[in-house]
Amino acid sequence: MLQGWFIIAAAFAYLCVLFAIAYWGDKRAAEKRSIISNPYVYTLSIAVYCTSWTFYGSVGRAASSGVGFLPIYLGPTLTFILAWFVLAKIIRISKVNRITSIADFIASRYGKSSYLGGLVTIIAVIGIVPYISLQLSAVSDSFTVLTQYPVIAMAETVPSVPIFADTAFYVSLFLGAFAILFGARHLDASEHHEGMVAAIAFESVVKLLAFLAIGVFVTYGVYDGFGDIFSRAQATEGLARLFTMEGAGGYGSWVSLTLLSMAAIIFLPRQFQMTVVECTNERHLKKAVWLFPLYLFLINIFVLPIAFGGLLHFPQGGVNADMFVLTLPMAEHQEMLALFAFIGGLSAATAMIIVATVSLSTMVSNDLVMPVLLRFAWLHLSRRSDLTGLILIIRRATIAIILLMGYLYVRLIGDSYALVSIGLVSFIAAAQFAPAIIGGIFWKGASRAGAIAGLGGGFLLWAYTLLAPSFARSGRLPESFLLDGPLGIGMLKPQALFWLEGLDPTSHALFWTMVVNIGLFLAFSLCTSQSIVERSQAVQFVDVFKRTATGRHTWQGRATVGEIKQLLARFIGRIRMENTFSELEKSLVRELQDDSVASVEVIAFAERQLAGTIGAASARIMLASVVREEMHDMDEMLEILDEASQVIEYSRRLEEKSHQLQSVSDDLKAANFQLKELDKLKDEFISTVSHELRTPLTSIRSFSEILHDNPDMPEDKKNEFVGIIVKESERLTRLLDNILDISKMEAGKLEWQLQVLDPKAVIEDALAATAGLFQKEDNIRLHTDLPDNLPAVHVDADRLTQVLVNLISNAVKFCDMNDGTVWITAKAKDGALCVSVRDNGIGIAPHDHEKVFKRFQQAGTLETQKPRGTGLGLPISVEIIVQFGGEIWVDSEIGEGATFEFCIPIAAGDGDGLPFTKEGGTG
Amino acid sequence: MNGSEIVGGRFVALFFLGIVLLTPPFLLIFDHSAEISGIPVLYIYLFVAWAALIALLALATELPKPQPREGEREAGEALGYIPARPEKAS
Repeated sequence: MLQGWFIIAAAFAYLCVLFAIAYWGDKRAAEKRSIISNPYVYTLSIAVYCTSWTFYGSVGRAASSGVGFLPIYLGPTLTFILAWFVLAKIIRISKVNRITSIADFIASRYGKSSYLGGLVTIIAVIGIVPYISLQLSAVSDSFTVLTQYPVIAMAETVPSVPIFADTAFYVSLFLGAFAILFGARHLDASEHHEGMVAAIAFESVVKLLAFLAIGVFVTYGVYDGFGDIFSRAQATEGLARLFTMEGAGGYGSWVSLTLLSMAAIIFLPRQFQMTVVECTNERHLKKAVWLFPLYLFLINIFVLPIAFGGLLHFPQGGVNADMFVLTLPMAEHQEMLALFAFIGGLSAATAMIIVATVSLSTMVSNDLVMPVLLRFAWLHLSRRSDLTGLILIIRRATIAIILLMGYLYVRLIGDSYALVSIGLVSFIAAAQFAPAIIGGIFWKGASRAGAIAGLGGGFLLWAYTLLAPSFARSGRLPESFLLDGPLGIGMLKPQALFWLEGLDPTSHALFWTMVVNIGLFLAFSLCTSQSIVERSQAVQFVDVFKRTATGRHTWQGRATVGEIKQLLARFIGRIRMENTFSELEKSLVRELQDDSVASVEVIAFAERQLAGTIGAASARIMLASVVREEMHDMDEMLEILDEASQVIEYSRRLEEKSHQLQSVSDDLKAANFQLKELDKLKDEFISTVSHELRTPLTSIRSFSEILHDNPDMPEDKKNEFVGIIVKESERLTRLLDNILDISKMEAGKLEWQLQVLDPKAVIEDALAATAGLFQKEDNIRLHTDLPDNLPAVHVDADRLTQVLVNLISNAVKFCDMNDGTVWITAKAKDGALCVSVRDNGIGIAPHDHEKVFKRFQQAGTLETQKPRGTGLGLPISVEIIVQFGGEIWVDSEIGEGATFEFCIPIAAGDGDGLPFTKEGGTG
Repeated sequence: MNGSEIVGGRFVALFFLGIVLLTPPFLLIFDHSAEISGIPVLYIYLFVAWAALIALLALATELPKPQPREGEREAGEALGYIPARPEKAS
């Protein structure tokens, strides 16, 4: 009955049932009546962990090492005890961030790095290929063995068979097609595969029942219970050593396998897919925590009895222990049971292949191929609205290629390894993800550079210590590579790296890959700094429970996509906003209309984008303003306030700084203007001085020449000319004195001998000095009004005299030529001493009042009138009076004479002049 | 310590129990070729320890979270002091 066609038909029928279940599951999911949303189906779907390795391989390993197969199942039990801390967190993070695969998870944690995503994908694909090859060879071997019935013979060594006669090749093709139909038939935007999960759960039931059936049959049908089998084994030579740890490969191997499987149960891509990505409800984990270990326990109870049963039944050898599950019922002529065993093994293998290829193809398309394709601008992919077809093609091709690689590995490696050993190679590859993920969810400091270095280093070492030796052992690489190391360098022997001997190859590889992986991960994380996106992601991952506890991600308000876009554009710029939204549309695989209501993921997406720019708390408040959702949480409000006040403080400081800069720049501008003005004045001064000096010099020179050329000139004429020369020389001297004075004053180099004086004495001195002027001019009269009780002033007597002489001589010069009068008045006024000098001359027009105090400026036009002074007298007087703390001005109209007046503050201590009055009265 | 913290503590304790039961130093005790009704002690021990661990795990998850005792709660409320989560502040 067990003909080839019958077995194929049975297998085909089984797969059709699977299809029906998957179809039903998808249909129910579409109707929102999920059949998988319960903890039992969830647990059974996680049991995809038990593959052909478990179904056939455990027995094989037990037959050679007793309890050595067990750590692979004890490890997951330990991990599930801690699920509450680790798995629950990973699941929550993945739900919050819509993680679709393990590559997505790692890339997302480390700043959404596409390089890291690609690296993880490559490691996963290469690492899982041996595992897939294990399934292929298990299915093809079991098929071959079963078709030999009733003869019990092993399959031929694979490489000796041409490809087209190789069962494994057809098995690969068939399973490849099946996996494509299953996992890549259509594209699910949510990356959830409810139908697949349902089918996998069904397969878990089948393989468990099949294995239990064989176990019960062997233990109680063939033998007489557990005690019977083990007693017989005890009596058989060479089997008793399997009863202790020694036979299990020693404690080192025991511990390392435990650790390894603790990591594998989370980090194998298919486990991540089932446990995390396909998890419909976090609460299901609670039951799975003990249900899944229970499943493992049940499927392992009969491993040892079957293994010993097989060893006892086929004492002469020649039967591969990996096939005991199949060969024992065959030997007992239980055809249906043998077929059931075959179907059980098939279900274990197909479950693994379906889930592994689905998760790997998701990773390859999302994290490897699409990012690369999108980089090529000439493909215009970013403009295409529908990439579904392309993604499906990539996924199908990936599945085909992975199965082909699995088949090639089977052919290359051949029968040189037991099933379990092949699987362990993949386990260690998967364990490479552990540091990056565990570190990433508990330690905010874990950085992208650390993850890349750790993963890369660990993976390279994995390839060197495990993958390369598997090729060497099957003769694909020279044997000396294993025995003597590459090029005969003993230190680099792949299974005794740095002379580390005495460990089994698995422990050896686990040790070195983890040392390098964790070492590089820590070193690079500690020595590099994180980008803003990285830091924000790190916080989001590590603090995922804190954040979701406040309901951060349950946006309930209503806002349109357009409003969200506008908000985002304000913070990250329109162009960047358009880019990120087109990326979002791509990842959602649908277009977003501006006037449609923004879905929760769009708002959450916008929040994440905003958070990268303005901080998480502000991002939330900004979005809340658009979404019109209330906020309740006090901590959150405080957080926002804190953030905002920091920003305000910062901007206040900026403003202050800019004010300071503004005023400094104003000062500089003013100083510059003044300097320019001074420069101009200096130029003017020099040209005027030269001009002023030239006039007397010209006159002196011309009169001297006349005298020189006419020696016989009449005496009186001569005297007159000499007189002019003397006068002009005096004027020249006076001019030079004045220039010296004024430049000294301006440079502040003039020495002032300030003392408290009676001003009347000074005025009288000045009158005495100018008395000659009045004597020369008969028709000028002088009137003085100098009271006795003038208050004392604090001045330099000589300089004050100079001012008075200047003013008096000016008055004499400019008063009426025929009937001139000069009035000099002094009086105390408002705490000051005021002295005025008045003449009855032509007067000064009001618009010239300021001009007369400037250098070399006189009222009227210089060109038409001969200058009657140096033009420096008044400017010097101004300097002097200002130095005394007073002021000087002129009061005049054309034709009404001019009054020059100055006031100087009364000397300190002299009050309003009274003290001096007393003194004056007594003296 | 509130309810969920106690549950978390249970898991940590179980994890350490698992480590002790299932890894070498303790395993050594059973690592010799003796049998109980024909079955090697190591086999029996490993499966029994494993089963016990799973049973405890089931208890730890399925037992209800500890609640404050009825009497204590009433006393607290009577005093106007409701120690809903007294350890939260730590």
